[in-house]
Amino acid sequence: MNRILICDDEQDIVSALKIYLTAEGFATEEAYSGIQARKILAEKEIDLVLMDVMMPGEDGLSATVKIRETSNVPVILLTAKSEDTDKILGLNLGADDYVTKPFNPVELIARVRSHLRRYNNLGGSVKKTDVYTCGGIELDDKAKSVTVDGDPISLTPTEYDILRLLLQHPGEVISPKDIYRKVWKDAPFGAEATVAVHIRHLREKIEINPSEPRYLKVVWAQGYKLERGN
Amino acid sequence: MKKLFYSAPFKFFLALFTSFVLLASVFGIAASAFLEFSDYSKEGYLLPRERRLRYNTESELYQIASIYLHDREALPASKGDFEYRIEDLQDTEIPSAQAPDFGFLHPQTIFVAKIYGDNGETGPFRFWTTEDFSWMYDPDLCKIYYRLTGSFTEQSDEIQAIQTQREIRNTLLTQKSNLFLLGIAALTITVGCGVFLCRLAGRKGSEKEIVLNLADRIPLDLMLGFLAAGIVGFGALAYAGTEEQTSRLTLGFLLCGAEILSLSLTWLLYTVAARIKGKALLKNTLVYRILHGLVRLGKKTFSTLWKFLQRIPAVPLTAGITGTLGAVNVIVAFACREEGLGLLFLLEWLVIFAAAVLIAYNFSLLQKKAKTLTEGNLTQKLNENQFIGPMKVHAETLNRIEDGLSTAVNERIKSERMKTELITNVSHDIKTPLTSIINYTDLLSKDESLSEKGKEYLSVLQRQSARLKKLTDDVVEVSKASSGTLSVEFAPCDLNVLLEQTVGEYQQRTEEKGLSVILTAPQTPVTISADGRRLWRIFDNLMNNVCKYALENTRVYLTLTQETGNAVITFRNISRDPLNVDSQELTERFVRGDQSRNTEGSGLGLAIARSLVELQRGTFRVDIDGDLFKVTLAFPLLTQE
Repeated sequence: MNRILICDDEQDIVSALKIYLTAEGFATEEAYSGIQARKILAEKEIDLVLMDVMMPGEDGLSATVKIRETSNVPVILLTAKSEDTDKILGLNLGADDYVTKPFNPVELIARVRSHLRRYNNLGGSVKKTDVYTCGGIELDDKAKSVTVDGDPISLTPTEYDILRLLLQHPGEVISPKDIYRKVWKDAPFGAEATVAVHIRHLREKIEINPSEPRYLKVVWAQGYKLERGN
Repeated sequence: MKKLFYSAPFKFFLALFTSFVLLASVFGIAASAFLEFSDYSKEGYLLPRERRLRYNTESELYQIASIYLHDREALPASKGDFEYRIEDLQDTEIPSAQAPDFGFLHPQTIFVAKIYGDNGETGPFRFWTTEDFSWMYDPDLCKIYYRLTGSFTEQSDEIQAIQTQREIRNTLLTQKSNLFLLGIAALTITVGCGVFLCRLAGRKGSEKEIVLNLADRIPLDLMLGFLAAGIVGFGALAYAGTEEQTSRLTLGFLLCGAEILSLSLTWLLYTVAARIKGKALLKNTLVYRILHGLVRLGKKTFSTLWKFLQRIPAVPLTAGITGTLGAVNVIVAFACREEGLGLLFLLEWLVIFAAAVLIAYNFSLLQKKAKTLTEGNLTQKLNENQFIGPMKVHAETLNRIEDGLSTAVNERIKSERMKTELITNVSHDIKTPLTSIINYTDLLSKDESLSEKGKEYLSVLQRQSARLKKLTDDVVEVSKASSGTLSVEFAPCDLNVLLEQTVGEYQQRTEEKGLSVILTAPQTPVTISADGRRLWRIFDNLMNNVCKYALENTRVYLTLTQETGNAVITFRNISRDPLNVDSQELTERFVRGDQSRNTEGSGLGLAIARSLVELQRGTFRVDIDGDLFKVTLAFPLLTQE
């Protein structure tokens, strides 16, 4: 059983999260400040931390920095700030992910699961040939199977081809025209909107929140790219 | 009829006719005047040709006489078209009082005679013309030996030509009065035609304005020069022509030449009239152009010089002017041996020079300060101790203006920042309780024991909390977008790709509503400079509106075109509800098409889209035509390098 530390100065939020997480079979610990959270971390074995950013006293960011000095535990930030700069700052300070308030409980649980699987399986995977990975995504070209954080995903052949193409060029922006040319093996004439539709479907399958993708990013007015997730 | 008058062929024929009549009038009047006042019409007038003929005949006779005296055998029997006879007068007594009848001119006669010397000796043979001989002859002094008489035959060219000229002269003399009348009549017609031609000049069709054709643009003085050269040349040619020969061919040539000149004069009249009407008479001359060019060159030089002078900073300029003037004064005084005055001037000059330079220096400092103030630079104050007199007061005033400005600007910046900060903070503070509301309503929805009514109420809570969430996000965004604190990273964006991505993203939602999206875009990439994420936000908002407000099962048109340096994107859809709102009002914050505020959304979508478009240097327009809702975006195209 995984033990999750919830840290927020708002008691109601802590209790709500506790209800959700216990319903999913996780054990929980509660803390209402950064100092309290670090104390619990030192005493007990914790598998994942949900940390609010804005708290009186020691805030979530400085608490994360201090946790990172001693521990490798996954930290997901809960933040009311939606600006990109705040997210980047949080990730750079050592957090593994962030969720903006007000969050969708289902999304939060999915992210918690994803990080736990990766944390627990860390270093356990063997490098195989014909296997492309990017963050939690793994595509085995021999078995023609795709898993995200260990969960098998069923894709249509076109979606599979698109994903493989993107996995072969991680971090590169690929235009819809190029995707069409390489996947459909045909000249693209006004058929690029099809690509966008397939990408949308693909995102719905591999992303926890398709509107805020972790891996399959839309580079607006240019194309698509696959990024190593946070 | 009017159209006919203004047509080019009519004008040409009128000009041709005018030139003929002009020629006739000039000829008529000139000829009658010539006949009236010159020797030509007098009795006994010799044509130039006749005079020359006489001289030629005489020289022929001299030649024959000299050959006859030296070697009679060598004398030819006849000399072409020259006939002659020789009379021996050695034994004929010619009394001194009765000189032989020498009254004829043609055939010509010469005498061969000898003059007695003082001692009775006779001198060499001498030749005399009848005219000379008539007053020279004295039988006591002179003895006549021979008389030679000769003439060109009637068939010779010379005689023929003279006869023609004499006939012309006779005809002219008899027609003198008729010629004059003809000239006057022709002149009247010429004047009439000329006036008409002048009226037509410069008009094309019945248009009001004056049209100058290519020929009207030839410099007038150049043209006059050519014409004058033509007249002089023609005059010389005509004079030589009438002098030399008068064949029908030369007369024809002369007439042609005269006609060409006359036509040129008519055309000159026409073009001058057109130019006067077009106010280009003087402008369109070489002299004017040259003078104009010179004036322009002069002005340009002057203005460059003036600009150069103006650019010299105040201090060196003042120093230069006062220094030079003072130095001249002193030098002149010393040069005039007025040492006392020179010294006085020198002292005076030093004082004036120092004062002027100091004032100029102060002035330049004030000038520089005022300039930095207009540029909005409010950091460096003037050191008031550097200034003297009224300049000091001015420096103090400038410093006070700067104080006021910087206070105002700082307050403005502070209040802007505070406003955005306030909105952001409030929205953050709202988000925390909102998280609880959303989470607990969600938890409540999982409770099986809830009654039907309870479930209904809960769904309202869930819907409204979702709306509140959206509203808080949008309020932050609109305040940032409109206050300009939103960062925009410009990069080349291909609008074709973005539109396709947008259509793809929305495919599911549009299909659910039965909307068919029709995308029209050029095959070539349409690139603008913008921030891809911000562009997507605009398109996202607009497509969101389409999905929310478009009538089900209708078509939605998305078009991309390029118009005069702009990429233009239009969204067109049929509204489900009647649009009773002004199109301007729709982009205001919190204004929605349906007024009832029942549907989801904050009413900020169009306001955010408009602010984002304007942030990216584009224009945003909403048009409502009945139920047709149309949004037009325009962005400047990225120019290819």
